[in-house]
Amino acid sequence: MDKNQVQGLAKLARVEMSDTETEALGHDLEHILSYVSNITAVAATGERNKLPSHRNQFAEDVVVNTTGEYRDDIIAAFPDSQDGFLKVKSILNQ
Amino acid sequence: MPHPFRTIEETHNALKNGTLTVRALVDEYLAVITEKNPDINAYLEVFTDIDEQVSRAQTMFDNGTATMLTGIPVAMKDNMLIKGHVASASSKMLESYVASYDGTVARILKEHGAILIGRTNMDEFAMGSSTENSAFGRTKNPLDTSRVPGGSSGGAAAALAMGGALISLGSDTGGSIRQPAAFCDLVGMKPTYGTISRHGLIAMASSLDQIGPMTHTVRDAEILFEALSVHDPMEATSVPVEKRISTHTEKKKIGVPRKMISQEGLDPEILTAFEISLEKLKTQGYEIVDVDMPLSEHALAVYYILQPAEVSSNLARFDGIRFGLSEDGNTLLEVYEKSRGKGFGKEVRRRMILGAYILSHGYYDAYYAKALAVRSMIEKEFETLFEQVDMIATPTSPFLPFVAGEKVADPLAMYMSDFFAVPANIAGIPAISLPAGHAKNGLPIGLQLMAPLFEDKMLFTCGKTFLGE
Repeated sequence: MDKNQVQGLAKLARVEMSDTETEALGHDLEHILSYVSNITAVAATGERNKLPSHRNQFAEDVVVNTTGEYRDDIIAAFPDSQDGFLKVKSILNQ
Repeated sequence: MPHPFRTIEETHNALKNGTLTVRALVDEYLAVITEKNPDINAYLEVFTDIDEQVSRAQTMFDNGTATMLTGIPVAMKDNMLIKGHVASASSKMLESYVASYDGTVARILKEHGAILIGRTNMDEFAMGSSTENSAFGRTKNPLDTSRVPGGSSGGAAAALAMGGALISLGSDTGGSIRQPAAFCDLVGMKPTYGTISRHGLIAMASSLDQIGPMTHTVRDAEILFEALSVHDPMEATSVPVEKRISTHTEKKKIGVPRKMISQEGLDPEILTAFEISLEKLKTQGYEIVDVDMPLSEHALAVYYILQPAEVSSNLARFDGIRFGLSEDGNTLLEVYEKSRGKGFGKEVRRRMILGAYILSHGYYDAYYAKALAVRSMIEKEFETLFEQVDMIATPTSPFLPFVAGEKVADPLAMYMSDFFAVPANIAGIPAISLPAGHAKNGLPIGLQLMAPLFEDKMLFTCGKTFLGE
């Protein structure tokens, strides 16, 4: 796997990576992919196992906590905030 | 052990009849932690609210509302949310992240008045089999400090093995409870998928993750399991109690997948100990039969396709915006890329890139879709096998606890640690690792038993028999 391919994947994964790491990762990934590719040899019947009895769980559409119960804790975790709002980079000024 | 070894029941009785106070009990463990943790690095943090917890627990004994878990010191893996405490998943990304709510297991333990002693070291975001991928230093195996305690719940195992807790909670996505249990001479159990709530567990691979107990005895693991395996309406994959049914009939037969076990790389001393364990089970009334599990031999490959894919999705939330590490950049995209580049360690980045590849256009069918199909086939293989046997036995780990640094250069070598463990995660079935002998140099060896869906109790029964409890 070449460096450009890995850089493309890093972009998809939104992770900044150095050139040296990208190259090393290319080798690692080839190694790992060659191992996991073994499953292509398994003759899949294409038949999925029966559906589990436990699926499509929904919660009742009701309010279960008091207003503002977690607000302060959540705001405290914001990297940057102002007047209780989360501050983020502008995306419209370009 | 430097202090008298106790089980949950012995400890409970001593607390109940007053020969021991919660304060005295907890102080014993805190003394051990003070002495040993600077070297072992099992705990990343000892919680600062222990005094209040002790008070509360003692009150429960004084007014007769104590339960079996009241006052019992528990070590919590660093990926379990406890309100007001840091939960970092041993990552720089969450180094200062304070949980805004109690996960369900924390809530239940608090209701019982258990003493949450602190958070234990782990491989970052649960990715690893040695705890060497922690952003906060490795954890040493208390049985031989040059070696690893296993992973990713290595800190939880080491906390127990060094005498710094009576019970631990770990999480197991591909063997991360069972393998450290084997490396530290402990009992470690991954319950049936859906029995213990993942609400408040920092997600790694959602279709594979399970929380489970690490203990000195099987009975202790059973007590923890019984307390925690409740239905949780807050968690969509938590199975309602009435659906936790098994139609299995006991046959007193244990299957051994000989071909799978004789794969290259199995330490000969582990094989010897395994054979001795099988003989022991025979004397205890079990019939041992050979079985074939050809599809489970592909479970590790299936795992390293599905898990990185799920990881890349689950870790997308760590973007430097609402919480966690945030690096500034010129654009929004740069904030994402720099925060994640700085916040995530090497193994995490490796698996996220792998996941991105597996899910990308052109490769999805060859890898991810195929792995899903093979997963279904592995589930079916187990189902068919359990028509003939009650449980399947394998060694827990192909290797003895290895020396720190030995497997870091080759990711695949590290991944092989979980060869016997991952089939249970792939199929959702329960599995336990039991202490089952030692190598000539004293290193511990684990025996793994797997059981049908929702037959968790069968593992406890067999485990107690095996260990003579």
